[in-house]
Amino acid sequence: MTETVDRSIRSIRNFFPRLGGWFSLFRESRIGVIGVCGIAFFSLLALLHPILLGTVWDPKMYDPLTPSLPHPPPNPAPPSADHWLGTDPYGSDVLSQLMHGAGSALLLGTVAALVTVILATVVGAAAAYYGGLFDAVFMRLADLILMTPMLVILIFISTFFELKLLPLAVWIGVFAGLGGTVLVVKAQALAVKNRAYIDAARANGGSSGYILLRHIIPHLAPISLLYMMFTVTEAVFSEAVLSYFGLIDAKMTWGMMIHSAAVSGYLLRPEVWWLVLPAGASITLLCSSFYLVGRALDGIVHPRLRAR
Amino acid sequence: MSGRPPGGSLLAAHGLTKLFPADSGMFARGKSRVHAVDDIALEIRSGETLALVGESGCGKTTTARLLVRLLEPTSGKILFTGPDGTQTDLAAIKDGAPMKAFRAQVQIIFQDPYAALDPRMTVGEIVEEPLAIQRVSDARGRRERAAEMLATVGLAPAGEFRARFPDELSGGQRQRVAIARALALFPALIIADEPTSMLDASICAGVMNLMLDLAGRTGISYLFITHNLAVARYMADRLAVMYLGKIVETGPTGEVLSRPQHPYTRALLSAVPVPDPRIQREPPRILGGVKAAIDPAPLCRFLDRCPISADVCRNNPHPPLEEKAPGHSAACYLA
Amino acid sequence: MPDPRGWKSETVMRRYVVLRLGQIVLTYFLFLVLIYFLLEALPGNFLGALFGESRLTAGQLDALGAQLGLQGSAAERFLQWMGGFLRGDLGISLSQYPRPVMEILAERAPRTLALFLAATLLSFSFGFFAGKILAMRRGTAFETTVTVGGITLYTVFTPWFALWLLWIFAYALRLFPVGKFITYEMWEAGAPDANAVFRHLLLGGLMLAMVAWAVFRRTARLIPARKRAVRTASIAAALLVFCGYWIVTGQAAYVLDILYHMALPVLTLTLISFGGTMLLTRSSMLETMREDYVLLARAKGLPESEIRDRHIARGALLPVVTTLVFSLAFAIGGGVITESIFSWEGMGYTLMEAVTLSDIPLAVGAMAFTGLLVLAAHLAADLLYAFLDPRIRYG
Ligand SMILES: Nc1ncnc2c1ncn2[C@@H]1O[C@H](COP(=O)(O)OP(=O)(O)OP(=O)(O)O)[C@@H](O)[C@H]1O
Ligand SMILES: [Mg+2]
Repeated sequence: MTETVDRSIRSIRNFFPRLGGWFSLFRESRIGVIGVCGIAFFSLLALLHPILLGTVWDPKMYDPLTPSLPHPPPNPAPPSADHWLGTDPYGSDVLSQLMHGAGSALLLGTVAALVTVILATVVGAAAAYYGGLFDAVFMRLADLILMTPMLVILIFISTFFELKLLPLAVWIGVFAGLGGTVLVVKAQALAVKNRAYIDAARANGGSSGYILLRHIIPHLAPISLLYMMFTVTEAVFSEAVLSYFGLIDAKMTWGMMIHSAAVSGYLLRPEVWWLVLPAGASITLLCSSFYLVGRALDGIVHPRLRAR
Repeated sequence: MSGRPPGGSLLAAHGLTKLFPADSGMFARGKSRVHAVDDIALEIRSGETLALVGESGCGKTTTARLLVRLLEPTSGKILFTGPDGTQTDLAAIKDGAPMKAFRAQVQIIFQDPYAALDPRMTVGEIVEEPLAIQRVSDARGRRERAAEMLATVGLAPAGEFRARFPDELSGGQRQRVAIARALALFPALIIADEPTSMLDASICAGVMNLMLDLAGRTGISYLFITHNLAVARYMADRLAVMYLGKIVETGPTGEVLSRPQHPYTRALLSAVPVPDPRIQREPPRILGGVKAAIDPAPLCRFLDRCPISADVCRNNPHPPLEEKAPGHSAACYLA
Repeated sequence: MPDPRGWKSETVMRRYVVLRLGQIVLTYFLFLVLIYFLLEALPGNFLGALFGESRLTAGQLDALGAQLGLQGSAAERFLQWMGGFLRGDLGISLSQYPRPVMEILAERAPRTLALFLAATLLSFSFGFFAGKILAMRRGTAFETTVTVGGITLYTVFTPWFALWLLWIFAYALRLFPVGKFITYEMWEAGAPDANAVFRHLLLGGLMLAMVAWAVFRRTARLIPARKRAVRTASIAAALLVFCGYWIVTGQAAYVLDILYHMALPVLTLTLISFGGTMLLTRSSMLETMREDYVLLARAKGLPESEIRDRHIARGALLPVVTTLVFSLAFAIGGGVITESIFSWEGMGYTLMEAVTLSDIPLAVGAMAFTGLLVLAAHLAADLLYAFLDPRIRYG
């Protein structure tokens, strides 16, 4: 038992040997802590939603999509004891929609970030290690992607394909992964590639695959983690823009909440603020939270910016 | 050891050459080449230590990396005598099973102990790594072997050091870990590239004594690379002196140091403090400084710095290594 | 002593430009291939999807297909499309049938160009200025406030932010119009062509900027007092000529109407990009501050403002410019959002319109143009970088 615990702690340390030091640095960085609080808040919202629907909220009334027993007209109704954030033009509960949207946004961000990191790490490490044609092809591709405005491409793609949430997350992940992130990861891998311990492993007969897995990829973990955070911001933001313009085929997201307020003509009406304000603020806050964590990590991974 | 008599050839290089492109700029892709290692011959015998001595930039590290096949030779042969007595030309085989078998037999220790250990692995994992790569024994057996190796290099208690990370060790301790890693597969030869040059003098002696002690106990051979003649004298049975990609003199250590044949060796020696005041030596008379051997003229490499050059040197190619005394050769027309 | 690089730096620079140009043309070609084949990946026959329910005969469908360039194999069609593209023929819009795509783009491209140039110039100048001040005031409450503001601007949900601005300035304060390019009533009978006026305005603006730049370059070596006088005088003169031209041609009112409509979109886009530049400048300044030459300047006892402007800011500008190139794609996305929300009928608006109406030729044309804009901006940034960096290796 203690052996397993010890072993798993060690394997985490393999990836992040200075984890303890990092943690205290991170705690010192105020913006990082604010960011973590923001992420925790929205995660809590997302987790609480199914619990509330299963206990105190009657699904007939609080279903975020199409309640079979919507709030009686007139709708949209202002906040009340039953509906803390009021109801939308169709009589659905806005708070319930908001909580549902938190789940969608976090899921989307996580999937996109994972795709980004896996792609960027594998391609970046292999490009640095093998060089040659593989490297050339992926570097050209990265140039191309970097020059291409992702949002515009996604808008363009939505003409042809019905974009659903998860495929969208994968598209964004691929885009971010094979674009800027792979360049950064490759630069790091190049720096690692010529260290003597890699020669030592080669001189022991370690195959290229072994060296990539054991000695190169673990060194890319911190930088990958950093770019994961920025990808989440990008993904949540892009999805929200696309849903705002009604270009996504998803159940309920924050962007769609604003979209439906827009199509029913409530967009510039401050007296029904609860239709737009909570969703807009949530998108902004979640994006900033991940961005802040990313910045804080950046200060740790690249210590040159740390205050003296 | 049946097929490999002590004193027989263990690893021998013939005509070994490595050229690097001299300029890697985008617009200046010329045909210039650095002759880092140029047509050298070397022989490391079973059970003995050969020291490779030379100034910075003369091609020592390149030689070491060629011999362990971390670099592809431009041309030449590397003959390795296996435990069963058969000889293989390592320059001719590609990565694969025979290469992997060879890699278990020849190990390398690097100059910089801070770069040679993966900071993300524990000392235990580092020492076990060669065993894992070569699939020696099971996890438990490997752990035991690693502990034994750590104890051998003086990192005791092994149990305590095993769980440490390299950044928790001193330079000397790191180099000991590197030695333990090199020993783990019981190789026949260890190539040590200036293993002590980055250590404090006091720690240096400890590491050298450890290596000598190991040689005495296990009969292991070393190619010991150094720029320090005193270290070479302490460690080696035989000596090879390198200058700008060429071996200029080779022979038994005592013989070379007491009766140097090549003007370069003499110049090197005159720079070493002499413990015996009765020995009178000429002051160093060496001209200029070392440059890289970029597209060298087909003349003696040492010509422009040589204090004794004559017409024969200016009208002939780089001199071949010739035996001047039994087992003692030098590459000089005037020696 | 002659500069050892002087004799060849000219040719090296030219080579560098040619190389970059080649790379960019190649990248653009790849971009077009990508766009075109995305189009080809369209599920099903898209002519059938569009006109399947109408009562066109097979013959009519074929004719229509030929007209829209939809026949032959994929490679053939691509070559045909590329050929058309090179001749400036991008097909015919489906939603504004039978207007050629090129005509629509030619009408709208200048609007995006103007919006983008104005916003980039403003956000860059203000962002760099603010970042510079921010970096010099480390650890103050001012710094914290402005940094938080910058991060908010940088991460704010752009459509929502644009709506806020629209609501505040157009509805609550009634300072600016709600959207659109011009006030239609004003431009009825007898008015000049709005697009022509706009093109002239854009051209005039560019010329003004060039004059200003030239004046600044020319006067850089003058003593401070004269420098200021010369600069003020020449720029005032240029402005006078600029305004005079519109008054004399009797188009001043129309120009003002266009500028009036343009103000809010430009403000929005400027604010969106401002935060990024400011934060970037700040970190770049902080990094440059540790360079030895800055320490040296301090040791020499130069005044702090001179150290900031002459030494640190110059070194810090370079990384800001490079990183800016990477955020260009982001700015273009912001442009699409801004144009859509303010109904500013530029390229982004056109793309959005084409996408919602499934007008594929128009969408492809808008993408092709956007790509061109991005690449041109990249090239400009590259040249700027090469121009700014004394150590550039052109390779
Ligand atoms: N990968 C490479 N590409 C190009 N040139 C190289 C490369 N590796 C080594 N060289 C050149 O080859 C020559 C020999 O280098 P090497 O590292 O073998 O010298 P060394 O004797 O080990 O020097 P030191 O004592 O400083 O370690 C040098 O001129 C060096 O610049
Ligand atoms: Mg060396």
